[in-house]
Amino acid sequence: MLLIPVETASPAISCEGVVKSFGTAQALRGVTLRVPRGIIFGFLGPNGAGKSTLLKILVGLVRPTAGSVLVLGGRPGSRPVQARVGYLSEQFRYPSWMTGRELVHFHSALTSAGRPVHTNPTDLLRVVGLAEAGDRRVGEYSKGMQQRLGLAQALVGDPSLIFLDEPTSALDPIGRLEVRDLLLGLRGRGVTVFLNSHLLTEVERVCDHVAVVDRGTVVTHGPLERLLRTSAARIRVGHISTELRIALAARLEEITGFPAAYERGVLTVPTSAPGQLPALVKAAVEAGAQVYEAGPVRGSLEETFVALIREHEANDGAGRE
Amino acid sequence: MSAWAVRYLKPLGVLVGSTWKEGLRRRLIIVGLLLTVAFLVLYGLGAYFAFREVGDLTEVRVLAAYQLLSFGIFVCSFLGTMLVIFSAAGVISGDSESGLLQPLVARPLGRWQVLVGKYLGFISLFLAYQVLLSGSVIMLTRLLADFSPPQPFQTLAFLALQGMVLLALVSLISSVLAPVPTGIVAFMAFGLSFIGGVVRQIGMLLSNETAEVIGRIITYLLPSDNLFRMALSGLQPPSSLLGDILGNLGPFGIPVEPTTFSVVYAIVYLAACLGIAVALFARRDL
Repeated sequence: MLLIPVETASPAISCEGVVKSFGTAQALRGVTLRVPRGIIFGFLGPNGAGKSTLLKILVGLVRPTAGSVLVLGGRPGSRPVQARVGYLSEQFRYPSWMTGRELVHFHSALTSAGRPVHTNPTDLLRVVGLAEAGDRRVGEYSKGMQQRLGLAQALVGDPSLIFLDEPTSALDPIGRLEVRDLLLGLRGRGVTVFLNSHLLTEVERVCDHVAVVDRGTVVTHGPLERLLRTSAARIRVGHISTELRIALAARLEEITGFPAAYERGVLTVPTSAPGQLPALVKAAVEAGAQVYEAGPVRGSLEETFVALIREHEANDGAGRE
Repeated sequence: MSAWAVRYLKPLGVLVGSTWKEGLRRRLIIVGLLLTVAFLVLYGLGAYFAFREVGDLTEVRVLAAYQLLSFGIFVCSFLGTMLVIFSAAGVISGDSESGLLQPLVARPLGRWQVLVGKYLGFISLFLAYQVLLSGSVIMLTRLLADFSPPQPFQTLAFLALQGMVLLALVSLISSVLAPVPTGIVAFMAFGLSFIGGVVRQIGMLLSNETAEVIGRIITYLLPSDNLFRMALSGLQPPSSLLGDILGNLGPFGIPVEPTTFSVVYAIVYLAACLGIAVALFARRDL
């Protein structure tokens, strides 16, 4: 048996300098991206950043103006690629006269033109929580149920890559939780999930890799852990005297430029540079404190996201003028 | 099924099946049938009363029956046109705007298959309807007015071809325009073709070459009226003297003898419309 190491297997998605113009407006201005297989990939960005446009290019609905795109090693929109891909669109509109079960059947019949498909509509509907509603017409479904049906539709044919454009926009908190479990389950089976979302807490909970896109370019991308910004250093020093506390705070402020706070034996020093941590620990020890523990405090994805977009828009604006 | 059939034919079958199912579910088929029955009853009543009063002279009876039948076939052509235009006006731009098309196109089938599958779905509905409708009109005329057109299958074939050409044109327009404008433009094209036919008819009657040429040009731009006239020619009684009189009297157009060229032209026109529609759809951003 030949084992291919994960690192050398071709990525699920790779884009190189993808440009998309609509008339004079540029929706994408050179997107380069690699999505490894078997992960949940979060594609984030403000409204109008070009998220849906890139997703539609990857699904073969929109043709890029320039650049190269490979999905599962093939051309997006080509038959062998489409046969392995599932897609939930942002609009999630399905024929209102069909029942949920018929829609799943319909899509599995169409998918079988690409490769043999063994879909059990009952199972798929149960997975998305529509077991009871399968024989009702789509027109009678609530928005949330239609989105769940869209998820079932995207899962038809056991795709190895699934594109979800804002998959929980119509769902309540319980529904979102269920979708999160569903995505984690898919990853457990080796499915790559490409998730378009602006719900940052959701993305933070499930995504392994994240790309942030703004005004048609990728601002940053990589493993989520690496992207989250350091917002402070935490140094546990135990209980210390008031004089030491004052002296320490002054010393640490000299290094970072921000006042340090002390609470219940822990010093918190605001800093965006993780590289300052050794210097801070050294300063604390030299001042006479016992250091039990020290480490960076990471900001939330939301903080990181807002900071990134603000910086990018400031630079971008300056660059254009 | 062979792999080839699974790949290329099965999706077309799936799309045709879903068009029929939609027609049944949305009650289009049942309401359409009820209205058709109403039309046939009215047509039958008209034929019955007309032929009670028309007298015994054979020539007059045939003349009246032919007039009535050509009127009935005109209505069939008109209703079939309506069916084609309204069923397919949203086939590309409308369904793409509403988001119904995207999940289909994301499946492993060619875009041409999506369009051709929908075309076949609509055209099969139309054909079933047209055969039922115009077949019933011909049968009623036979029963109530004792008039059998010489070539009823020619009439059916040209009505069918008329719908197929129009549906291809509607598909093409729909890849450029939104549903309502598509319906309006397609209907205006149908009307224009009709007027073109009338201009050509006037030109022929008055031996005015300019009018005839203009009419003929419009006939080529939009062949639907010419196809209707070829359908009419299947109804014309064979008697030569009577035929000549009738030929110049039809209120809904003079029958035109079918030629191989005009049939081939209509098929090429259909294929070109559908081909361009597929090419535009293949390049379209959805």
